[in-house]
Amino acid sequence: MKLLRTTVAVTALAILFGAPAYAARAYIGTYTPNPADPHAYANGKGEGIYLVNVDETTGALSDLKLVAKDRSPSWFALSADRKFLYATNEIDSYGPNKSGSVTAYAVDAKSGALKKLNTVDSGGAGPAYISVHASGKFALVANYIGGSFSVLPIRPDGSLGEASDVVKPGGPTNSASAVDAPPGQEPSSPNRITHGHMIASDPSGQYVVGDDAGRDKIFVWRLNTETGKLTEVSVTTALAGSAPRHFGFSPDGKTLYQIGEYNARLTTYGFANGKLTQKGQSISALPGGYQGSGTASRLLVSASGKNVYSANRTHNSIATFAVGADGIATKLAITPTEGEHPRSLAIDPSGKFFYSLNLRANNIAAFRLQPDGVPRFTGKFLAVSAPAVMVFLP
Amino acid sequence: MKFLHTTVAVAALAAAQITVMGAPAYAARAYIGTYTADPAEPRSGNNNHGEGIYLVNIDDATGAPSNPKLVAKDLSPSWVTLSADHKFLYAVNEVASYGPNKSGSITAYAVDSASGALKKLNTVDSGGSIPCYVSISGKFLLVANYTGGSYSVTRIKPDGSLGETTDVVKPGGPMSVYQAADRPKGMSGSKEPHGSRGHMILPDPSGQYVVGADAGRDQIFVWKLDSNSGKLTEVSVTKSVPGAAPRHFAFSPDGKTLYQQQEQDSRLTVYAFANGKLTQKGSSISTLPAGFEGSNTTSELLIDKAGKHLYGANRNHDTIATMAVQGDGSVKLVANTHTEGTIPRSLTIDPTGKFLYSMNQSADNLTTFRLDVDGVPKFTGKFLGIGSPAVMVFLP
Repeated sequence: MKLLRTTVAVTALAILFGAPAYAARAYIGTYTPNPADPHAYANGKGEGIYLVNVDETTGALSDLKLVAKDRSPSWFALSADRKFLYATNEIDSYGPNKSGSVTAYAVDAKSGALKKLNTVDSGGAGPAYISVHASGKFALVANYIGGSFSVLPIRPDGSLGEASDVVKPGGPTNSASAVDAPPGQEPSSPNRITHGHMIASDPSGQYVVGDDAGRDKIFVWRLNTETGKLTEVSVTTALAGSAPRHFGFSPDGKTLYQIGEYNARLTTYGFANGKLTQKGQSISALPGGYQGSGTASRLLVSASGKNVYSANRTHNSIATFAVGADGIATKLAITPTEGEHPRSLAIDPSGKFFYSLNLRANNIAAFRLQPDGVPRFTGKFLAVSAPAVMVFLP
Repeated sequence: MKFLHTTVAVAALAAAQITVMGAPAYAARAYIGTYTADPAEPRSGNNNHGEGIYLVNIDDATGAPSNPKLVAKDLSPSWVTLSADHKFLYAVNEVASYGPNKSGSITAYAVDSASGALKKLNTVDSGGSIPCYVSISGKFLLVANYTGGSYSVTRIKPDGSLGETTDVVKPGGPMSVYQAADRPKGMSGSKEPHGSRGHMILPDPSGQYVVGADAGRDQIFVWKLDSNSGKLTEVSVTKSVPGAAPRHFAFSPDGKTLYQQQEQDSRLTVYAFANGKLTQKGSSISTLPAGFEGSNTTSELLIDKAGKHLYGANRNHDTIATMAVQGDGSVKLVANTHTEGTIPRSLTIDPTGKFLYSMNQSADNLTTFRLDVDGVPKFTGKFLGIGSPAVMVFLP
């Protein structure tokens, strides 16, 4: 009987591990309903954080499973050891200050299940980005509505402490439109304050970079890993009205690629000693001759550093850039996203597949990366409500 | 001196004409209606970036429209139609703020054929809020009111202005289901209770019947219009798939087939049309690529002059579905072409049949496609920036 049992179990296991072979899993964060303000951007029919399997051969996503009910976990980051996941709650209703919040989860490596550890104030309303500092000791958060950048200590048990620093840049407001925006671009709202849109360590781990999409600035700080305080190293003023939103580093950390949300243009900067120096001219992420509104969202750099990708929301396309020997990017191709409003893009750990998170089409489209780095649609869709971010759990 | 003046003027005119007649050569003009901010709806300006009705010249060789010129400031003229003699233009004002009943309105314009200028004649109640479609049957203007859930008939006076409302049909009865059983996987759809939603009203090619699509209660009405009284009499009512939201339809050139596009399940159904009655032919087909998952709502449906190709607009997938009419009368999806902009509200084919235009409402642009021999639109690379475009009609 015992032998029989074992055989049955082994057979069941074999079926379990049979085709399709799942190479990786990924978490998908979504926008959830915002009953207080249905017109707000941060509003969708998602329910929280989902887990999916990724087919190694086809790149197809399957078995979508809700693993954490949460309020608009629209961005998240895994700790380096993948034991913890930190999600922003892109809301403006946390606590008496009507702030946003960040939630820490423990990851069950085997099942992918998430166990909530705690939720803390994000240091400002509408947190839109989170990353884990190179030291592993702090989470860095960019607050869009609150116009701030905050540092949250990560405790030994993976939970989050109260903010050790909140940087809230002031100063004059900026232009509502950029001079090099596409003809016919609808201006953004005037009198913009700081909009923290991204914050991350540079590859060396020595610096922290933050994008201010409201006042068109790129900040570089040093983080004191004892006190958790940021000290300003440099401030680079981007083109007025361009709204620097997301950036990516070359693998050697010497080049920073910056996408402007409101002019949909990519600017290449040399990065040395915590200072940015623009290299060459910015280039449009939209097709030649584009007219109309066009807002860029995500920017990605491939693992090899040979390609840079950005997402065009109103044109609903992926711009592929090729990086030349001088580090300067040139436009290679424009690929439709197969769905409206790509909020984010993701490349799988193998570097073979590419995903577009189409917020308003409520789907994710899977692409295969061609030898030249250009994504080609695989024909595979995955329905998921209001997808905003995707992170792989290898 | 007078002679000299005249000579100079003539010479200047000749020079100006040569310049105008030189490249690019304008073969046609078109009006473009847009969504505008409504002072009665404070938030409307966030999404509505147009100012009214614009005029563009169309380059005969490339299909490219010129920079738009505002010819009529108006409130959300989101659908327009020209009289058969092109002397008058009728626009809906897609609002819910007209008069004490918070209705919509319709505005009549006289067209200056030389300049394309529009002169406003008058504005009247559309018979329901959020009018979204207008067409002409003889001496009457037909309007579909979306939120008001009604179809109205308004008399056109000899001077082109609008007279009295001769009929308002407001279908009642039970609500339909929210979501169609055959919708794409992951399509969330509406959850708000609603009644009838008039989305289109148009005479059939014979002129004997008037057809109306009810996207709220999933039915297609056929009426006869009394050409004296302006009253509609029901001939037939055809039930669509519950929740499918029949939105725009198109007739084959011979008037014997009606193609009905469904907004909420992104499908197209073929009906035989005879004696004012619709009979479904075969199964409906999807306007989306195989394997599509997620949300999509269709908007416009067009048929080419030959009756060989249908073009459906997919919003959210943001593509043009090209569907070919087969020998047996069935329809097959042959291509999905990226619209190059978000939310194609409508599509238009130019009078020569060479070009197709996509009005990308949320991208604030209009994109130009060339129709190849296979009937599939190919993007020409030409964009026109214009705030919240909704509809385009040619003034040949």
